[in-house]
Amino acid sequence: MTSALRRSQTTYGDTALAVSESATGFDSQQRALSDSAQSLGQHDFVDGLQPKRRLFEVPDVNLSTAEAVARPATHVKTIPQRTTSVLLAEWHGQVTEVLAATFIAQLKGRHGEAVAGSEDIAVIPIEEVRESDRDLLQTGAFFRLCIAYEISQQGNRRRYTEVVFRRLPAFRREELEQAQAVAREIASELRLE
Amino acid sequence: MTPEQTSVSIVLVGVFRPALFTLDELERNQALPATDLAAAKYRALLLDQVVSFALPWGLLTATADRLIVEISQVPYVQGLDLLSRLIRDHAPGSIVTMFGINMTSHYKFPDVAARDAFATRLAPTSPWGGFGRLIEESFPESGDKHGGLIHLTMRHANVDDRESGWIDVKVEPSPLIPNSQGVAMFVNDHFAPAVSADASRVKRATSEELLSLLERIFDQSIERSFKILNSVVSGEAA
Amino acid sequence: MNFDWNSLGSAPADDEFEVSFIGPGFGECLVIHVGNQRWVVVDSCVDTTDSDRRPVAERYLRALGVHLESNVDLIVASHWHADHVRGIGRLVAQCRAARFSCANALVQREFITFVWEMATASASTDGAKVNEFREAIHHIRERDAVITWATANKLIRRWPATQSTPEAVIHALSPSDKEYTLFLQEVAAARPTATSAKRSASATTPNLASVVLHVSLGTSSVLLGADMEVHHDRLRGWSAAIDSGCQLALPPAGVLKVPHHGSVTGHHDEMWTHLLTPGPMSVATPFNRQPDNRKLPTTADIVRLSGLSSALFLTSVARNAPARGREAAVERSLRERGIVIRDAATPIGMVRLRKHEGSDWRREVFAPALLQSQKEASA
Repeated sequence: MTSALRRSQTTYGDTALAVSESATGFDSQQRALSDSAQSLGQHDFVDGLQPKRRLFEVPDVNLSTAEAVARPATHVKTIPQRTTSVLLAEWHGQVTEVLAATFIAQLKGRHGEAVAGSEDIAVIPIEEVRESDRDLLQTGAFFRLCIAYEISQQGNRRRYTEVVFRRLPAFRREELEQAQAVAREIASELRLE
Repeated sequence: MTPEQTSVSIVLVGVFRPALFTLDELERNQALPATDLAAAKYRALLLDQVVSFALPWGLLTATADRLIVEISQVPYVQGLDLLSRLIRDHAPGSIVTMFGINMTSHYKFPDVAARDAFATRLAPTSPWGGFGRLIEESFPESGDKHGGLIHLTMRHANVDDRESGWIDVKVEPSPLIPNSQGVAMFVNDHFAPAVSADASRVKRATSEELLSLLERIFDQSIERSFKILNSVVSGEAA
Repeated sequence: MNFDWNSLGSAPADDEFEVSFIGPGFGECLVIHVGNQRWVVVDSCVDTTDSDRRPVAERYLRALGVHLESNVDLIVASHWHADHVRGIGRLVAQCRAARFSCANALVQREFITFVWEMATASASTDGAKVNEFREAIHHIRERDAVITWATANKLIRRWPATQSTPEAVIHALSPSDKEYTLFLQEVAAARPTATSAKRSASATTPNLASVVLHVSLGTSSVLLGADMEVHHDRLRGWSAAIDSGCQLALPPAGVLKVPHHGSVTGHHDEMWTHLLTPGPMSVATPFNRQPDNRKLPTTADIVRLSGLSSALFLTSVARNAPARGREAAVERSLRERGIVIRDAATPIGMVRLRKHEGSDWRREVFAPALLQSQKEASA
C-alpha cells in the first residue's frame, strides 16, 4: 500500500471522485463543510470558536451567535475531548422494575461474542446510570448497556461500561391521527361473534 | 482483528434549514439534553449555510442538503435518537430523500509486511504483469518509495432490504496509524427510495418512510458493517 | 440442549383427546386435540434456540404431521401480554381455517386504536409490544375471518359428537363485564399523546382481563387458568370467573393449567373447591424472566400446589444459567460494576396428556419438563 494518498487523489482528479463518490458516504461530511463554507477562511474563526464575520445580513434577533459574541471573554465552553471507542459488547435493554439501589431489565444482546442475539435478565446498580439520565429511569424505559475501550487522542486505552438511556422522539399528532383513522376502519370491518 | 478505533456516522440527504440547528434553537426547543448542550462547541456557524458543533460523544453538521451526525462514543444509537428527535420533533419541515449509515474503522497491523500481505490479498500484484512486479519490488522501501494499493472500493448493489441503494466498502491506508502499519476501512450503507432522489419529487410520506426505515434498520446495519469489516480483515467468510 | 421436536411420536388417534402444555420459561402454549384431527391452540410462544423464531405450536403440529392450514380450528389469545402472544401473528397466518378468539375488549375500537397508536413507536422500541397482536389482526382482516370474542359465560366453540368421539366444548369464564369496562378505561388512560416520548405499550392489569377457559373433552374437563389473578372485588378476577363457572354448571375439571405461572397472586381457594375435582393433575409453566429469587413458581408456590394436586408438573426448570462464552474483558467489566446478567432463555419442555373416552390420562413428560410431585393414590 502507498502512503502518498493525497497526491494520488489529486492526480486522478474528477475520475477518482466520480468513482468513489457517494452522496451519503465517507467524505460526505467533509464535502458538506467545504462546499458550504467555501467563502470562510481559516482566519474567520476566533480560536475555532465563533465566526468573526457573516456573509449575509440577517436581523440580530435571528443570530444565535449575537448573544455568544456579547458574552464575556471568560465565558468559554470547554472543547470536548475527542476520543473514540472500540465496542466490546452492547445490549439493548428495557427496565422492568426499579428497586431501591438497583433496577431489573430485560436485555437483548446486540454486539459481542456470546452477546449478540442473546436474551438476558440483568440486575444493574442505579449508580451506573448517569446523573443526567436518572429522570429517564422508569419502568418501560429503554437503554443501552455498552462495554468498550475508550482511546484518547494520545492513544491511551481504558475499558469502560456505560448505561445510556435512549431519548426517543415524541409521538406526533399527525401519525397518531393516521393510526386512529386506520384503527377506526379496522375495528369497523372486523367480523365478531 | 480488533480495530484501533471505530466511529459511525449517519448522513441524511434532503432539504434542511441549518438555522434551525443552532445551539440556541436546540436549547429553546429542548432538543438536546442539558449536559450535551452545556458541553457543545461550535465548529462552524454560518446561518442558512452550515451549522456544525461538537458534542461529548460526536459531531452534528447541518447544511441545506445534509444533516450529519458522527458518533465516536458508544452507544452509536444515541446519534440515531438525536437525528430522529431533530427531524421529527424539532424540524419536522425537513425532508429526507436518502440516507447512509457509515462505519469507519482503523486497524493496526503488526508491521508493514503484514499490512502489505493484507493489501496483496485484496489486490494481488501478479495480474498487473510487469507493472505489478515493479510495485512488489518496492515493498522493502519505506515512505513515498513504497508502492502498492492506494484504495479499493467494492459495491454490493442488490441489497434486498431497500428499494434502492448499496453497500460500499472502501479500504485505504490509515492516516491515523503511524509507521505505515494502518489500514482504514469504511462501510457506506446507502438507502434511497426507488424514485428519483430529487427533493422536489420526494413526497413527505416517502421522507417519513425513510426515517422509519432508518430507525428500524440502524442496529442491523451497524452489526452487518462490523461483520463485513471483520470478515474482510480476517479473510474469513462472514 | 435444544428440544428434540422429532422425538414426540405421532399424532393422536382420531378418538383420542390430547392436551399438551409447552413452556420455555417465558411464555406458554397449549395445544389441544378435540378429536378427529381437529386442533385448538391457546396462546403462543417461541423456542429461543430456533433461529427462525417459529411458534412452538407450529413446530409441534408439523412434527406430528398435522396440516396447520386446515386442521387447526381455533386459536385463542388469553391476553395480549408479550409472553403469551409471541409468534401468534405467524400462527394465525398459517392456520387459515382457524377462528381467532380473544377477550371482547381486545377487539373493540378503543384497544385497536391503542395498538395502532403504540405501533407508531415500533421502529424505535423493538415492536412496542403490540406488533404480534397487530399482525394477528392484520391476517384475520385480510382473509375476512370471524373473531369469536370471549367473555364470562360464553360458549366459544362446540364440536358435536361423532361416531368415534364424544362432544368437545370450550367455554370462557372471563373476563367479566366489569373487567371489560375497567380494561378499556385503563387502555384509554395509557394511550400515547402527541409530544410524549415514544415508548412501548405497558398495560396496568392485563392479567385480570385474561380469558380463563373450561374445556370439556367428553366426560373429562380441563381448566386453563391463563394468567388470571385474584382481586378483592367479587366482580373481578378469579372470583368473577369462579362465579361464571358455577353459573354455567360446568363439570369440575380434573386437569388444571395453573394460573399465572404458579404465583400466589393466581391462587383462589374457591377455584380448587368449585371448579376442580379434588386433587387434580396440575401443570405449571414457569416464568424465569426475573432475578433468581423472584422466579415463578417459587418454592412456596410449589409446596402449595403440590399439596392441592394429585400430581404437579412443570414444563421447564425455574432457573437461569449464567451466560457463558463472553469475552473475559466483558465479564471483568460486569463484575467490576456489579452488573449481574443471566441468560433469560430456559430450555423448552412439554407435558402431554392423552386419553380415550372412559380411560385415564396417559402422561408423557418431555425434558426438561418434569413431574415435580405426585401423591400416592389412596387405597
